[in-house]
Formats: sequence, structure tokens, C-alpha cells
Amino acid sequence: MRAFSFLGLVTALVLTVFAAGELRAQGMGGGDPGRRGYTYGLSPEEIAPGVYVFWGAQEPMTPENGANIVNTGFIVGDESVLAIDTGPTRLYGEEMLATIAKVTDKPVRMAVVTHHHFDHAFGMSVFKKANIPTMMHFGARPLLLRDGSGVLQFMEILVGANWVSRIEVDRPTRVTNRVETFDLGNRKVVVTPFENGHTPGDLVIYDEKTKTLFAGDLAFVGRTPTIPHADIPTWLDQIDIIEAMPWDRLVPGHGPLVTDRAQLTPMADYLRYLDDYVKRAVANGETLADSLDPPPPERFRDLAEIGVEYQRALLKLFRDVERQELDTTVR
Amino acid sequence: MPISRLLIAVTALTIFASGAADAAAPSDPLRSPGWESIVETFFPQSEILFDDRVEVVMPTRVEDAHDVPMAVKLSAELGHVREIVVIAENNPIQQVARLYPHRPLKAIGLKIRLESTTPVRAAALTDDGVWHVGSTAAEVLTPGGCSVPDNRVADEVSDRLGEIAFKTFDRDDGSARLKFRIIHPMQTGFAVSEDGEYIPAYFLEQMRIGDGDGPVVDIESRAAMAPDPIVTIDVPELGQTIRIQARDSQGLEFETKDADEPSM
Ligand SMILES: [Zn+2]
Repeated sequence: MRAFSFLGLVTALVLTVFAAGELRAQGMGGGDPGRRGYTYGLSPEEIAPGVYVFWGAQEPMTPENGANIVNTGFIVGDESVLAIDTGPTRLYGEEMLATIAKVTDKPVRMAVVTHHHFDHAFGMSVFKKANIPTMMHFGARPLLLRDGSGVLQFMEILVGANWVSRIEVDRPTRVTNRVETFDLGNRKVVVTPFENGHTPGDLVIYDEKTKTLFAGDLAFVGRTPTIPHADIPTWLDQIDIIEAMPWDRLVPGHGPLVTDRAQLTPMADYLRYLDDYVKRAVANGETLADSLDPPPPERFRDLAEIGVEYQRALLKLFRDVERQELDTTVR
Repeated sequence: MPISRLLIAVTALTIFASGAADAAAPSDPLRSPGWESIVETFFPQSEILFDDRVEVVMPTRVEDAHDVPMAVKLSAELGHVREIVVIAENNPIQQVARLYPHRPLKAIGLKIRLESTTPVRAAALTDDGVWHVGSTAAEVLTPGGCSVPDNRVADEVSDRLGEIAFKTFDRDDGSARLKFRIIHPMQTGFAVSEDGEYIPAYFLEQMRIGDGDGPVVDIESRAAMAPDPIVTIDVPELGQTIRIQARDSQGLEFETKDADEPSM
């Protein structure tokens, strides 16, 4: 183990100097949070009676925003509160809980984490420490534990160690793969599972009283969908199901409030395009390197983070589609 | 701590230190501190030319450092190329592959491991003894492509070990492309398993590609290639009878079972 960590140290040194000096100085050495210090300044918006959202930035994750690029929220009943997602860091989770306590004195009975991606799940340990149960889809738990440490490294490079340092990636206290109903006191909230679309396990949360749906990352609006664990055809079917649900307003995982189902069309269009493009390219014998150019079509260029996310998406899809194709040609 | 690993670690530190002290290396367009040691290791006493006619194409941001696709494009203007070496500069295993073409290669596609943010180089040796070097820089967001186990690769060796899949394509520019994959864990020897033990190095070290007209390219591969490596080569022509042979570091040999062109 000692050799391993020594090599790691050398690697870190080379990475630090090389990245700072020659490529792009970013986030190393702790990150610069700007004037505010290491706080997010979370301030909830009440989008419907008793339904609150913390809106995240439509930006890349940076040392300035501390990876607050995600929408989280909470629903207040007569007796208790349900939190939706826990944010990207422990600091976020702590601030979220403190802010909820300023809005209501009702206890938070549970945090529902919509899926395992860090921006939604890495504040989870805070809730657990406060004896608040956390719940995920049962398909999300293994991925959280498997990928957690790698993602922490990646976050540290992008937003800096100070935001990231106290994060503990830990298992949820509960998992589910069924429809679950919670009564928050004169207020019924329904949690519905979705499998193997955006990720192996996503949950959406529906407040019957105000017809508000928290769709997690099954819905991206105005921001390029991320697909590292997605099966696109299944996800497209799930978008149809979500469109058919009886909501009046929808809170996407990323992007502004949705009141018109047409706001979900661009993401579906983009996902369909990606899937077709890569399948066609692999069938023609192309490699990823052949396909990095040209850039994505004009109609997608206004999506936030299209540059980075398009490349990420191609990487992942090429790997999957190429593997499937080669599996059919084994000699 | 095994001596060999300590040596490697110390060497890496020394090279890094000397590279940083002497920030000269003015000829490297990427101005990497490691370039001088690359020259000493790979091109001692050779003439080197940074040359646009050798192009390295790869994603600029890497999140999956165990499996990074890249391509090398070689301009026909280079003339006859005797040898090509692909180098990931900040890897503990710097050499990814060395290729000896028997026919003009227009492009090579590989999947590689990257330990950390690094220049990636491809160098082509022409008959006049000059190494023509193309470079690019890859930013690695999840360091450890060589030293952290790939959690998609099972601990026990797959019963598909050595399985070869391939397909050929006619390219728009008139060239022929062969894409093949060999199932192999390509263990680097630098990764520590969950029980705290080093996973021993185990990788494909040689690949020979041929067709009915004879050999196409010989490849000396290293564990800096990704697990289950996929290789793509573009040549002016490919015959009907593709033959792929490989040998790994334990001396196991693998080859394509039948010699027929796969149906497309
Ligand atoms: Zn998200």
C-alpha cells in the first residue's frame, strides 16, 4: 500500500504542476469560492403552496459555484416535511437542512434521493447524521458506492478541495423499487420508480395537492442531458410516461420550472439524435476520434454545457455501441 | 514495498524534478516538463521533428481514464514509415504501443489508459531516420487509469480471454479499415486490489495482423492499452483472409479461428 500511495503522490505532483502550468489552472489548491466563502447562499422559492425549490445554476461546476448546478426542494405537510435530493456536497446538505428549518418547524421525515449522481446524492450523509432516513431506488445504491470515490476526485479537480473535503459517500438507509406513498399530514406524496432509463434507478416525486412533479434528471430543461449511465431508448419511453402524468408543474433536475409539456421536447430530440448518430457512425466503421467533429447540430447549440456534455455523451455511447457490435462478430 | 516499484516511483519523481528545474525543452509545442525524458527514453540521439502530418485525435477531457479512445492520423506525405510509437507521457507505463507496418498505414485507432493529465504523443519513424512527432494534451478528471483497478474488470480472468472479434469496412476515402477487439484484462501491475495486494501485470504484448497477401502490421502492445483493447487500422487495401494473432505476457497465444471475411 505504501508504494501505491507514493506513486499516487508523484502523480498528484505531476498533475498539479502540469495542469496548472500548461493546460488550465482550475480548482487546484482548494478553489476560490468568491466573496461568499464556502456557503451556497441557498434560498428556497415557494413554487406552489408548501412546495419549495432551491434552484441550481445552469453552469458547469466551478470553484465559484461549488457544484451547485442542481435543483433540489422540499414539500411541507401539516405534520412533516419531505426533502427531495441532498445536493452535491456535505456543505450543501447542511445548508439545505438549516434553511428548511427556517421555513418550517415541522420535522423532515425523509430525504428522497432521485438517483445516484453526485449532484443529487453527495449531501446524503448530513441527513443520516441528523437521523433523517434517506431513500433511493435500489438500482442506484450499488452505483453510488462503486463510483463514489472516483467522482470525488473528479469534483476536487473541478471545484477544489475545500468544497469537497468533508463529503462522505454512504449508502441510503432505505431502497425501494415500488411506488411508495407518504402522508405528510393532510398531504399525500407519491414516489414512483423508473428503471434503466436515465440511470439504473431513478425516483420521481409527485405532490398530489398542488400537482407538482419533481422529475429528477429524467427531465433536463435548457441544459444538455447527461447520459453516463443511460439507456436512451428506455429513457425516451420514460419521458413519454412522465409527459402523460397529471402534473400542472414539473421541477426538472436541471433547468427552470416546466408548465408546458413542450418544454420537454428539446431534450427528447437531443437524446434521439445522439442515439441515431452513434449507431449510424459505428455501423459505418467510425471510431470516436472520427466523430468528435463535426460539432452537434445547430438546434442543440443553445443547450447549456453542450460542448462538454456532447463529447461525454459520444464517449459513452461509442463504447457501448461498439462493444455490442463487436460482440456480434466474434470469430 | 517491492523494490522494482520503489525504483519506478523514485525514477518518476527524479524525472519530474529535473524536468521542472529545466523548463527549457523549447521545442515541445506543449511545453511539457516530461518531454526531455521522453526523448532520452524513446528517441536517444535521433532527429526529431514536431510535425502536423502526424495528428493525434482524442477527447480533451477524460473521465474514464481506463478506456480512452484515441486515433493517430498519418499523412501520405510522410512517405514510407518504418515504425510508429504511441506514448502517454505521464503514465507509469509510457509506451502504449509500437507498430511496425508492412503496408502504408493511414490511421490507427487505439483505446488507452491514462494515469493523469498528460501529453499524448505519436511518433512516426521515416526511412531517413527522423521521428515525426504529433502531440495532444488530455485532461484527466479521474486520475488512476493505470493504478486504480477498473471496477468493470472482474478479478478472475474471464472465460472469454483471448476472444477475438473483428470487422472490416470500406472507407469513403477509398481505404480499407480493420477494427478488432481482443478480450484481455491488460493488468498494469500498478493497481492494488481490495485485499491490498498488487494485481500482477498481465497483458497482450504482441499482435500480428495479416491477410491473404501477407502481413499488414505487427504491434508491440503494453498494458497502457485499455482492457479488452480495440484497435483500428486504415490501409490502402485489405485482402479477403484476415488473420489476427496475439501473444500475452504469460505466453498464451490467441488467433482468429476461421479465415473467412466476416459477413457485413
Ligand atoms: Zn443531475
